Amino acid sequence: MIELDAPELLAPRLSRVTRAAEMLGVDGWLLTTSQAVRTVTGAWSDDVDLFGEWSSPVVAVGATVLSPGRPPSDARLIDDVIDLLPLRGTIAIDRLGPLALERLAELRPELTVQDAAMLLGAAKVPREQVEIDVLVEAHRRTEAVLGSMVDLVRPGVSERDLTSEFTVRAAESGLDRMHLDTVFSVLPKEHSQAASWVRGSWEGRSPYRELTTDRVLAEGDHVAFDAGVGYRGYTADVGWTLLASAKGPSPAQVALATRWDEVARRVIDAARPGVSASALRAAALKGWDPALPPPWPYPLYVAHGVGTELAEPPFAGADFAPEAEAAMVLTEGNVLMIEPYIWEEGVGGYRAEYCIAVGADGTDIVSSLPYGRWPGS
Amino acid sequence: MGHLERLQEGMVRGGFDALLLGGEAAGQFAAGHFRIGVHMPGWPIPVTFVPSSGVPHIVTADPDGAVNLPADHVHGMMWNPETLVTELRSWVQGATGLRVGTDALSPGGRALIEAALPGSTIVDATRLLAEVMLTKSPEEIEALGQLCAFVTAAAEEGLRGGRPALLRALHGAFVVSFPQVSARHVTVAVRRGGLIGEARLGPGDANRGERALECLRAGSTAAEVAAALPPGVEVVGIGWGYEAPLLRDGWATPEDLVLQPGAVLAVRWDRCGVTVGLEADGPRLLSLSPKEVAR
Repeated sequence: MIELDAPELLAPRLSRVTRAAEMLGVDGWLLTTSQAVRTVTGAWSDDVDLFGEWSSPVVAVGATVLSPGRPPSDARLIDDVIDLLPLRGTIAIDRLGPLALERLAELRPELTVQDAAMLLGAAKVPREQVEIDVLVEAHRRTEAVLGSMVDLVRPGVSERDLTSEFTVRAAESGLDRMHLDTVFSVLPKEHSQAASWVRGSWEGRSPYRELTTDRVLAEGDHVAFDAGVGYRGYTADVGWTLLASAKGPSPAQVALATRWDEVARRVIDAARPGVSASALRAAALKGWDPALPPPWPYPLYVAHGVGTELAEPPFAGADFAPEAEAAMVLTEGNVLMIEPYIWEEGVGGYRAEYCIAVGADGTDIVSSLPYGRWPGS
Repeated sequence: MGHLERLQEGMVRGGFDALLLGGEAAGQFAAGHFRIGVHMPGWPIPVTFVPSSGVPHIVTADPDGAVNLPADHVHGMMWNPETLVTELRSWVQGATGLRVGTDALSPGGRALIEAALPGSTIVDATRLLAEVMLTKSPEEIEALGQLCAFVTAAAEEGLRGGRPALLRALHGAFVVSFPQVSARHVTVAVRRGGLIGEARLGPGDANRGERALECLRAGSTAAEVAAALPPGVEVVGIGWGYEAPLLRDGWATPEDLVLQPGAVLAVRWDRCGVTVGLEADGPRLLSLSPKEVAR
């Protein structure tokens, strides 16, 4: 069954999409990823299989939504929507199979196909306050659930136990849209414990983990938490590192968290409208020993946007070409996650995520949990 | 024969030099790896590269989920499309003029492949994937049956105690579509141990479900079965993800896929659903029966 986002949330998105379409010379769109469909039309369905989107896909052509439609690999999808497509001009498409693209070219030979990435990207900012308010509300609600979990992180419970309990508590708080397999993962303390991680492209990088398993926590474990939560069509990304110990952090562990906070604060201080993602990367690396791996986990980033998607531009620290990273410029209304990762042999890892809102005169830290410290310390 | 061998045998038969797959389920089927469950696929594109012989290359955030693959075949997520172009060239060792199969791509992704592999032809691979992934081993069918029982038990808890009870019973299993829960019905699908299982308990016409099962015959094409299904019934392959075939409203994709013994199918109608393993003489229930799921 199709449901619709609140009109006050859809309206600004649709307005930006329309403006972007005019700017890009796009005469229509055919969208087959559920996220793109929701961004542009506000339509969504719990029947969608969000993992692979094969079963019960949703399709948007202009303002028309088909649910369920045919899979994007099926050429007959084009026949289903052909009357909704312009005869000529340019159409933006996010995903189609080769057979469907061939069918489109056959039935609409004068139609030029454009990748929808530019249209969808241009539709993300500048966000209106009503959207920022939802993002902030999503973040704070998720943090409240995480805050209630701190005392449960102790030796003897399993990673999966914690994920389960978080999911239940989140649902009880009205957060029942987990877009990520919620991470509770013990971080390695020594390279020798990370042979399955630090290999190939990961050699020379800081050991990390994010696959939640049935591993049982031991005294002193650093437990990485990361959740991606949907709320009213927008998302919250919350992360912290928890300590499985009643004894509290050691001086080395406190120092580790402090180093993390120093990196994060440099990035936050650099974030303001007009600044590029390159500048955020540079801020993270300022004074950083170049012999060490960058202070974020490979192949991720030190900062990224959050909005209708869990991770969206600007990205700082990912593998983008320097000119592409420099072209991702912060604007007023960006909501960013600042998420360095610090790892030290024999001590372990620490990662958390500050959520910041970029305003005209600077940034506001949205986060309410005491990142840069250990829970309870 | 293992998954990869089956797939590569099919690639040779179908004249594919390589596959470049965005779908999670097909990628895991081919390469045997595991990565964190994440919704909203599309960007960055999860990529599995399968040559017609030899070991696949995968792009992942989780190297520890791919210990079955050599380290130089496991690559970090590529946010820069140019990185993928460079890597693709090395994976095919500079070959050009290839026939590359794919499932679904963005237009930009297609342009990248064409730039990376000059003179190559990009063709549909979903028909090949449907055929190769259709048949499950007895061990896989057993595991899917156990997963069905697990999810169904959780759905029963959901009927009694609502969403929190359902989620507690699922014990952190990753939901692949958001659970729909009320006092009268529960629909839930999860991934656990690399497999997908679903449960649908609620109001519905059990007779329609039974009539649908009577239509499922090994040796029939998906189109033949789709034409025979009662109105309002949907059938979809289930295994490493939701898979082919998909049958609904009298049509099927791929329509010429011949259903084989060993296929595992989710059959849905009204608020109900069952899962069956197809055998030579008809479907065998891996879940509750139509009468049992209709509440």
